[in-house]
Amino acid sequence: MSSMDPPKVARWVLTHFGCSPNNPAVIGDLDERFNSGRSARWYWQQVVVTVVVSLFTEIWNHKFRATIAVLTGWIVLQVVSSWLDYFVPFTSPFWLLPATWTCPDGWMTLLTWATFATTGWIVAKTQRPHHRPMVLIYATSFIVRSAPPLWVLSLAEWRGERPTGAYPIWLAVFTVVSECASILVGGGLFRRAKPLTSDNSVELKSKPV
Amino acid sequence: MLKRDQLGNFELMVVLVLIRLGDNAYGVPICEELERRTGRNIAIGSVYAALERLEGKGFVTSEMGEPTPERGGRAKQYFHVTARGLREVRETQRLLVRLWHGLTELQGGKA
Repeated sequence: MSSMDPPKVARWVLTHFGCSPNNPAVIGDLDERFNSGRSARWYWQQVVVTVVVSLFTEIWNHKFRATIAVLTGWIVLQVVSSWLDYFVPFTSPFWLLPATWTCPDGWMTLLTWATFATTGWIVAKTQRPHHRPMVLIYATSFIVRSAPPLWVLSLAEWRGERPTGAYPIWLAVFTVVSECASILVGGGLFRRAKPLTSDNSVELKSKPV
Repeated sequence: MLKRDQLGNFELMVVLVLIRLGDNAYGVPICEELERRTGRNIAIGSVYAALERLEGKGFVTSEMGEPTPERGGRAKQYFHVTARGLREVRETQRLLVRLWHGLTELQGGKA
């Protein structure tokens, strides 16, 4: 990376999580200001503010849609987990009750990720063209839902009273993060951005300025 | 609470900057002008959020401009104040001047 390149991770975050309808123009403006001498720290600050503001603006402008998106995600999650329980009885809904997590088997973990990805996909499919903020708010609701059990588990571990068979806190946190990432993958938020030859951009074959 | 077709404080600042910039009003000069005139750091995300609200209220229109390499090949989005937006700014100015008039506490630079 040259010193004139914006931070790649920050740019990736903005490209995939920025919810503004004008996101390509926002990225262009940030790149232009960065190229006129702004720091990487400034760029990161702008990215964080832009992602948060654009998410809340979209949610505020589409409150009903956001409510439906969160409800859809949770209902599908409940239905699919019940369905899995029917066929595989030992898959008790540990993703809904993280304090009772006891089953970190490899294939079951994959099945869990697939379940979460499916919920993200359904939320995205039913909420176009606003799928990005709707998938993000659903994923946020999952993190909020998981926070109290994680807190209880971390307190128990700190006191040395972790229930027998329960996940260690690092594994519980990893599980929540990976399940959240599965929602985002299923919702298409990690898909590659459109090529630069779209309507509002050009291929960078011209001479550098 | 603001009526849907009224201008908020930050929205008013953005519209005034758009009027000042004329045909060159896209994200970068808007932010720079706001920072220069207010002395505050302005987040570009907040400016775009205000511009989207203004567009929704019919006070502002936008059009895509030319893409440039220093912008990573992305196009500029130019914003223009509509006639309705100008009327609203004038009305807000009249309202504020009426409210200001006769406030001795605010004259002579005393708080």
